[in-house]
Amino acid sequence: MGYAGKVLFIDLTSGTHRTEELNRTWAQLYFGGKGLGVKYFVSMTAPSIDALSPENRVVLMTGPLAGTIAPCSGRLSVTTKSPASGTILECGVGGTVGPEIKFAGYDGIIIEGRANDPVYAVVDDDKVSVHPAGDLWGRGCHDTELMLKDRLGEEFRVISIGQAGENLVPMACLTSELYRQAGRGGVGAVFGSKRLKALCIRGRKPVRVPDMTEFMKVVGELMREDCLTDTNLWARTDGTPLLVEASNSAGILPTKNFQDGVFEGFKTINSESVRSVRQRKNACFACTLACGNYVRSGGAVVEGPEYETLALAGSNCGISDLDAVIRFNAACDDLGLDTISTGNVVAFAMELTERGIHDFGMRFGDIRPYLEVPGLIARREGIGSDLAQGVRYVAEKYGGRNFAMEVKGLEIPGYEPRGAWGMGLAYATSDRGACHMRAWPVADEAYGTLDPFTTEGKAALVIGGQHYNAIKFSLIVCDFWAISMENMARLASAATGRHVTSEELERAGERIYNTTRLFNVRAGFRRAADTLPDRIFKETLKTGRAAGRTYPKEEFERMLSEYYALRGWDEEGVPTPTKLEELEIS
Amino acid sequence: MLKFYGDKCFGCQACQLACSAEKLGVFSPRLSLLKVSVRFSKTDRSVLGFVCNACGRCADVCPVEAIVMRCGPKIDSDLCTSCGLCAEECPQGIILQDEEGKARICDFCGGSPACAGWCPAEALRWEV
Repeated sequence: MGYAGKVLFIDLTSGTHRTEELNRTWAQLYFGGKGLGVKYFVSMTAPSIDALSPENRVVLMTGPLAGTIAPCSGRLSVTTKSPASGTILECGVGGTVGPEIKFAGYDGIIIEGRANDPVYAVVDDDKVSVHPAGDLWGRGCHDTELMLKDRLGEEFRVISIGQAGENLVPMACLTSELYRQAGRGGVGAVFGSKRLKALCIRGRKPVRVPDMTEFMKVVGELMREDCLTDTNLWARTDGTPLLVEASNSAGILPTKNFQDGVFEGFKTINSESVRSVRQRKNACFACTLACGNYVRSGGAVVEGPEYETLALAGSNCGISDLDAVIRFNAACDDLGLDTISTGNVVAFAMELTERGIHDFGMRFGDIRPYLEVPGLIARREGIGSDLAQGVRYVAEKYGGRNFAMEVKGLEIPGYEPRGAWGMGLAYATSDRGACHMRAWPVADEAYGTLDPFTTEGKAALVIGGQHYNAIKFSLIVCDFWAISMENMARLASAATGRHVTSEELERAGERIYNTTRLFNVRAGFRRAADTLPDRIFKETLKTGRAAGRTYPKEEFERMLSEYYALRGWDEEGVPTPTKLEELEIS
Repeated sequence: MLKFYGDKCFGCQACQLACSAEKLGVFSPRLSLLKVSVRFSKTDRSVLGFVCNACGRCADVCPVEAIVMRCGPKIDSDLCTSCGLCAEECPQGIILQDEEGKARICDFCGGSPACAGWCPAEALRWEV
């Protein structure tokens, strides 16, 4: 119960498919979503493979809550090996595509191999087919999705790549419902390498829970007591743009390629400004919070821009014109580009230009070239051929290594670590490079009451966050519901019909985090990669709360050692055999 | 009466899930007795809602008078001959047929509709 009981494998090399019974042992240990997706992925895939080779896989995995009325359960987990970082890569995407997979009768879909020519795959309940996509190849995600819905029927859910994914750009994402992305680390390029333009799904089977009366009772109580509360309703009133003001006040709003943490133009890209162009609120499947802002500005429409876009493609590029950010956002969504990495590489190019290191023809605040870059990157034209490779590559080619703002090749999201020292550890130890969705200590450090300028207690804080998010993204509850571990256990129990405790979930979170770490260790990552760009340790911010403060590297290294020790990993960050045995990881 | 306000709807489909849970004990938007459909194009996004407005068309066309209007439609499944006329005629397109072909029609859950009760957006309301 709670599970469909089947996993679908689509082999693009042979154009065939098969189903397997869900591995119930793994489902008990890893629950679903991130955990189960990662478990399937690592069990089949050698860590040393080239991310863009046919040997890579894409595992799309739902959780036990998918398809139910449990709030914030509409997301889908996508696991692969990242062409950007070379780590394992797990991404989430909202909308309705996840639940639709469950309604089609599968817990997950695993895509393998490589087609000879561009294709799209259709999963219509039990009917699975692969079709030529010659007429779609070369088109953006928006055309692709609308054409496929036109062809197959309005009911089909579509997840697709744009030109960026086709051209194997390592910052290419997957897009669904025009504006929702599995954003980071280049999963779009993995689709592209498989010549898979899109996956279309229609499911008409019911989803069952063990005891409907009990399930509705639990969900109803949690909805009232834990979900629709002031802690979470910011998502509905504002959504993530609310963080622009909060980050600016805390001095952690990435500004001009992380040269500062305060942006003078923040008022025109803050939540109030986004609200002024908002047409309507939008929710994923079964979500009561509806964080989505559907906006219209000038000729552009987008569901967004989210905080990360406002920060990395706004303040970080010195852009205070909301209309420009919206256009940039809409272009990236259509081309299938991650706005965090794209914003970062634009900002890096701007700084390289301003410093005279290499002339990319754009300086901070220059709107015209900024709006041209996404298209150039997606098509790998002109300066786009370099910029498409990401900040690390551009730094290696032209210089500026010390202010190349990435970890393990993945560009840094919207929280300046010099104003939240624990966040630095979260970036350094995330399982996919610089990521804000593994642990988010900024909530306590920059926006809360913890001292942001100390490493004391931060290792434990980051570990707690990593376990919490790992299991949350496995049951699949959205990040934006700050649900307690106890209440997650109640939801998991109601969905699976077995008594799940919060301790069991905590342990599963640790198991999942160690499983991803082990893959990365086997792919060659050690302590030296768990670090931050030199700028963080060697330069100070000019304005705001963190102005003039150094973030000493020795402090960071001490915290990292403490983190490894608390985790039961050795000094190189390798999980010890005892720890792996304790967590039942083979 | 059940009223749908499209401008307030987020498109989360909780209403449809609540309906199928209440009526059939499963989660299935496609088996629910109302429809919410999010339409998007490159320039617009809208939500269309189809709910029973007690128009009585189903009762009018039923050849065996299995449907009576009492607050909303009430169907006597023993009388229903599975002819499917009501489903064909429903202007909202929300009458379904079960595996035997018997009509399934929204009855407003007897005056306390589950769909409106679970709507988080006040987009679906029971107004008396």
